[in-house]
Amino acid sequence: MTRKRNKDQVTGSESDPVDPEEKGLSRRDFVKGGAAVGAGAAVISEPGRVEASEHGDEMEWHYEADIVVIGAGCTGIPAAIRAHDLGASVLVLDQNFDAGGRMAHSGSWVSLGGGDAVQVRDANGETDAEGFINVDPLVSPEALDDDVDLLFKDVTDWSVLDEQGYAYYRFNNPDQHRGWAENCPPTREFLMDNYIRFARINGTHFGGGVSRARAASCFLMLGEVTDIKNGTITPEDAGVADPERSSAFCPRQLSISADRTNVNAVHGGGAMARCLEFSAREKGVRFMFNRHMDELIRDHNGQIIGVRASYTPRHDPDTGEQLTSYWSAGNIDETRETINVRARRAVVVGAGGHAGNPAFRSQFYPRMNEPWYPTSGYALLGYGRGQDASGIIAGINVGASLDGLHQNFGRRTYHIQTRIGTRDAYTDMYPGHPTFPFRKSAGFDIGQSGFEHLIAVNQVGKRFFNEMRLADEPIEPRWPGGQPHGVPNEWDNHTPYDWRNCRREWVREMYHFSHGVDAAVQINEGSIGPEYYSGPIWAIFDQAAVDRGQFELREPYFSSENGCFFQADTIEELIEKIYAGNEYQRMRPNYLVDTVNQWNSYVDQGEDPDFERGQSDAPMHRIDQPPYYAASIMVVWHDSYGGLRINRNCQVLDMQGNPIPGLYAGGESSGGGQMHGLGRATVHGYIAGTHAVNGGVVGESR
Amino acid sequence: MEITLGSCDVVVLPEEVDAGGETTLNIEVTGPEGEDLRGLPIRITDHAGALVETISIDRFDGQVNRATNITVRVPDAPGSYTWQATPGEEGDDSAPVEPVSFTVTAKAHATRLLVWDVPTAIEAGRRFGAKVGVKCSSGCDMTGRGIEIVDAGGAVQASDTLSGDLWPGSDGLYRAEFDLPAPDKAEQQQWQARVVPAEGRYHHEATTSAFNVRTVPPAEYTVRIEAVDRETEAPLPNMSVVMHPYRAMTDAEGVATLAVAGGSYTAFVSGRGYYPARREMDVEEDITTRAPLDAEPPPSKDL
Repeated sequence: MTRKRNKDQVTGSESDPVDPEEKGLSRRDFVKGGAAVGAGAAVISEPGRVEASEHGDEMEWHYEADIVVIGAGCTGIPAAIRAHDLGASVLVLDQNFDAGGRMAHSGSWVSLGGGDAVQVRDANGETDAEGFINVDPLVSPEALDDDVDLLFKDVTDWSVLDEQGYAYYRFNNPDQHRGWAENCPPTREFLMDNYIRFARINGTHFGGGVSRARAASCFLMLGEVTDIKNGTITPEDAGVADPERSSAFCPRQLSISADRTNVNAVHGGGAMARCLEFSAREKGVRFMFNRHMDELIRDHNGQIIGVRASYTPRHDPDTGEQLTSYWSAGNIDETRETINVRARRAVVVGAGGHAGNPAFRSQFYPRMNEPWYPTSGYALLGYGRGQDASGIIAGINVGASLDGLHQNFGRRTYHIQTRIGTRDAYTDMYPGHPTFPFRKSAGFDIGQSGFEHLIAVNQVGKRFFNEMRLADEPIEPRWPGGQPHGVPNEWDNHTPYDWRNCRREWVREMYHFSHGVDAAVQINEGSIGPEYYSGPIWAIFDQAAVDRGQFELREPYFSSENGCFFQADTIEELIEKIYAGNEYQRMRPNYLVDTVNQWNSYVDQGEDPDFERGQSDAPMHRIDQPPYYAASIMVVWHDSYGGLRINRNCQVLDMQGNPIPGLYAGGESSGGGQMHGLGRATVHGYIAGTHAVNGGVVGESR
Repeated sequence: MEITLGSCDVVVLPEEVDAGGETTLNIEVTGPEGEDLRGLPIRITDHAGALVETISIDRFDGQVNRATNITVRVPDAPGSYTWQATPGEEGDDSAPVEPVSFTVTAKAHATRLLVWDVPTAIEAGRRFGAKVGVKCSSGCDMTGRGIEIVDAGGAVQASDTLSGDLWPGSDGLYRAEFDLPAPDKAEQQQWQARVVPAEGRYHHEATTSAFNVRTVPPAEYTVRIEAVDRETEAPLPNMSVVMHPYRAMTDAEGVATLAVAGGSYTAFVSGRGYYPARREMDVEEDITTRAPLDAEPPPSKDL
């Protein structure tokens, strides 16, 4: 395929992608409190007054743009770039201090398909345009022989179940997914036109279907400088120079990409998020960080005409220093508490989902109300604001309908991680990124096998499940199918929409579901109404376990300052330390002494009558050698499913099924799709950015 | 004419502390007419009438007057004590606030007693080792305190005094090690460690700690297990081998040797980064076997 980069534009480098003066984007061009002028189809015109239904006859606008995008993540940035490419002025608001959202800490595995350019490239045995990829295709040409109809059928396949018997694709909104499937190929090209470099396809992400391989990681080459335009990144920026350091460039360390790209390549969220951000800034998209969208504003005709947004700066919890974005070109620094931003054509909501909002997510599962459990990446995104359902709630408040909240059950987006000793347990993050102080520890991944060395107790200090089965993540029905993925046939013998995929005998054979996470969040003796919070759960172990399991009890893996790790000479002292050191531990775990004594007696007897541990799974070990330890075991609410109902154009629909004029949504802000992350969100962004400008001509590049 | 006096309230936090330890007094005073009483001294006297401390009211929120919280030491002997807060200078009874009594409670120090490193399978009639740790809830020096090990029949099998050695890495955990005679027949008994009562400045609660002593018949056979990575066949050191009640760790060559009585066992081999391997074994002769372990894949960073 042909890369469509504008080589005449300014050079990308370690510094900001754009010289503001060169692009005519100097901050002095912005009039504080009013209009500003940008390059080309720039952001702002004179501030205006316009009738707004909920705010009196006239309201004051502080900024204006054709398209206002909420969220600088994997929906928002593609939407912004696409709309800007089509000639619109675009302003992106994000509640965080930097761009990237959840994309920045993702694995960058983008599952598209339908015969997209990377599938074609790999099927033909070709390398990338720059010649970086030097490994052969990892998937047979037959597994890459894809088309939009097959992709659509795969992602609406009613017959496929996951290993908990849940119909994974059955409830996907068909109109939305027809639009999604049709726009996968152009979105792949669009991403590649905006500095995204895709490695070899090596699978399909969950939600991407069973029949074909469709997912590839985003990579950069290790080099002496970080240069997005030329595709290089320094080992320090990539986080591969030191195994215990992240960088301000990449919150999560990138992975060596030898298996899918080149031994000198690295892939991961930073290699995706920074490249898209760079392209957006280079093209003239404007960003306003520290700005949380609180409300959508309508006019008397029901047209969405703007947003109200509040100032949400973040400060280092240790130093008090305000956090600032890695790049600044194109930023609008605005510090007023509340501003109104007018959207001349549309607002695109890519504000993330509801996994960070315990009140909202408990609508799906009441036991999800425990606030101790944040969404994954909370340190990066900001606790209480990241993934806070604000985009969904704002939509509800202007009459939007919802879709697919029950789809949180698929793949159980809430699950127990094997990383203990950090509240942000879904991913590792190390010192070097400015948000590390919010978590203070990387956590220590003990793996499933590591649970052999501990007992898990609830907030009152009692065991609640077989520890060996706590971190039992279910598998998903996706390529390459077959028994390991809960599908009776491999991909090449798989027939979508075939009742045999959910034949009762097959389901009985395939069913494999552990309810450990459900036991972890259940009402216990310490739960008090009306909330009935389940409280934290703790891994309790002794020094002998540390030695056997080779736990590295040191910084940055553990911290004594984040309420996630305690050490004591006696169990009684451990009880006091847990109670005093964790603000969500609402009572002393007073049963802990008896629980440990009981456990040790079970070990001596060689059987665990309470939870049948030690019989078919793993040996049991006494917990008796001081010192004793408690480390947090986290129930992670990762991504969320269910949100604003959208159609094939990503227009938000009202209760009658009609589009709300001027309102678009995508990614986790939208519902009706059992599909993970990046593939879903980037295509939504592409569609929304296109339709918001073209008014219906979707899937066509200019 | 009856004079209305204001009130004084003292909150003790924590309500109970170790004898000789510290607690905090939170004092609030309300004047009869809601007056600003800043500067008014409050005298704290103990159960014997002795002055503990005098503190002045230094804050007024328009209704309630407050003094900065003070930390006081409770008596050395366990018990509940009635103390008093009296507004005004000594000998001056003109303060417009009534005195108030409050209770401070001193607890006997708790003694934590730990027993560890008792072998899970002890050959009947042989001797075995055990480690004992003692720690006071208030961190008292436990040097010289007597420790006794008592068998299931109540007989003292060993006694020692704490030398003052602390368990490495601990904060005040005094340790002792014992060499003990096991029962002559194969059985499971519950023994106890106890701290011998002693006089001292502070009273320490009597403490015992139970532990299991499992004796097994003399070993008849040797089971030699070599742990290897299934894929690479590399030997795996530091793997745990459990054939309940027997336990061992693999050496640098990945080998663990267990001397066991004949019988049927479930053998587990496990360790960091590997899924536990399980095998049923009938031991009727010496056995040498390999245990191939499946490596647990590292967490995917694709997701």
